[in-house]
Amino acid sequence: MTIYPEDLPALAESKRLSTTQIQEFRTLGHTLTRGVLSPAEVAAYRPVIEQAAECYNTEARPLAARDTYGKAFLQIMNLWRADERVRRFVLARRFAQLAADLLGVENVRIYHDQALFKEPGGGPTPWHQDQHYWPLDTTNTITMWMPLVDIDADMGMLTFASGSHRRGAVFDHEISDTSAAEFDRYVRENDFPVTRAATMRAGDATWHYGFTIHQAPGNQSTQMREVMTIIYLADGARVVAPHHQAQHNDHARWLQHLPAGALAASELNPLVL
Amino acid sequence: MQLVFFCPHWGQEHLQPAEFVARVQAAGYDGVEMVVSPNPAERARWQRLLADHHLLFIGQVLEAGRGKGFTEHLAETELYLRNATTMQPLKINSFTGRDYFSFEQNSALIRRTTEVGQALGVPVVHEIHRGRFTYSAPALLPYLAAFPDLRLNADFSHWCCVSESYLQAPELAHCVRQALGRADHLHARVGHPQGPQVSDPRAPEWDEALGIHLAWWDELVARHRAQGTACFTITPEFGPAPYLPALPHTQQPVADQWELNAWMLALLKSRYAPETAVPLPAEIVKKAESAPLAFP
Repeated sequence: MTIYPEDLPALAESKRLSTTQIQEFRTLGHTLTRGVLSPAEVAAYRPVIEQAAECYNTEARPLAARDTYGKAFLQIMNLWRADERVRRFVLARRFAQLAADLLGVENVRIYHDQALFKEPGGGPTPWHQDQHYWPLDTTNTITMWMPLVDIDADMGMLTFASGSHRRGAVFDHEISDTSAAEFDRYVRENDFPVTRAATMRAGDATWHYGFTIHQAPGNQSTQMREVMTIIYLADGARVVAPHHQAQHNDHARWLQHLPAGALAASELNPLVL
Repeated sequence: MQLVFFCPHWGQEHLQPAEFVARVQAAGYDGVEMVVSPNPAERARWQRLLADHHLLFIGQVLEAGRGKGFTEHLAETELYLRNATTMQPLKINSFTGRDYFSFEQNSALIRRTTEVGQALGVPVVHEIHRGRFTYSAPALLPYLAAFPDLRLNADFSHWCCVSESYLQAPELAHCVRQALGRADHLHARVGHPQGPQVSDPRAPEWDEALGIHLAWWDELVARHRAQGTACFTITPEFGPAPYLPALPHTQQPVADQWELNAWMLALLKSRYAPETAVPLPAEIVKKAESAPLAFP
């Protein structure tokens, strides 16, 4: 059966966040919002995203043949550019309004989306900071992490080092076995509280800053952990010259080689609200 | 309970904003407490800077009523609270009323502040401060009785000065306990019977003053922990001269304000939040522990 974009729920703005929740986000560097999508809305979008993720997935190796990063999940990015139906999800005003409220800005732009499907038996995602990859002049950035299936702690629940966003960049590491050991020690030695939800329903969402150190345990269940993420940046952010290869890659791929100093507003970074 | 620590902007106005914010972040504070500018462009600039450094904000509403009579103070209250709200503060710290306004006049200001704060959805605390309706321990009690919703910023250093004591008389100790029950924010400054700020809380001659203040603060933090408060805020608030004594003629301060607050931050984090705080960088702790007096 073909699903047309206009048949999908519009996901307009819903109720605004409380001041308490906004301040919790800014204090801890993360927060959990329940019921961002209703079960009916999840049911409408899940097959669309699954279909697009399957269609555009490029990972063909079996789990055992992959490195730490590759074992952590199937990662398919910017589905919104490939599929008009996913675009309706990724450019939804409901999500963007929550992101803007949490960041304290009037509007946000898309950095990119990422379907993160952790397979049964899929490995842990080591501690890391997303901001490391982003050649932007602001750290006022946020990721929405939304499971499309009900999940519990055994299925690779996103896990945060609370308050860790305030220290800025900690190491110059991409996700790897080396970075895992150093981040593990850093989080432990600095006594950050380690926080995760016990359960999330499909349509709940967590939000975290680019600098919030986070990880996900392995998926010990027999079910695919289907998570869709959208990364936003505060409108008004500008591109900075990439500091290392990972930022060069992002600069090319998500900012279309915009010159340093330009607004982070390429064709791939639309305003949402 | 999350404990969140703020750096006062007071005394650091000479720094460029970006330099100040970088210092605050490097020192291990979680946010900034500062007077809210009446200028919208300046507010927006500060807001972006703070957001980019993930620093929280407590806005001080101070200009309303500065040097003005009751009528102007009341008329301007809403504007100044709204200005503060544009910066999305965690809290607003209001310097409310006058010691010489009547009970009725101060009550009108408290009522207006409460109404506007509730309408805007931002918690407002009234600072215990000389010159305000909160200036004296016993003078505060009628307001607490009249306004069950009245919340305070605990700054007992002022009451030490006004009462010329450490508030140990039973009648004054009672006032402190009443205030502790209403305090949602703490200005951690050490006062003494002859002034609102000791010269240097690290000096042994001020052990008694420091010990008495720590006992009050211990009780305040313990109350909030017991109540299950989600987030309690503290601003180490040693101010610049003339709060900080200075030498005659040269006006050289007898200690470094920044160092005093960094030391207090380290002390309070180790005392109240060893298990949950974002810990201070090691070099700040060492520096705070070993900092000599600026003046021998």
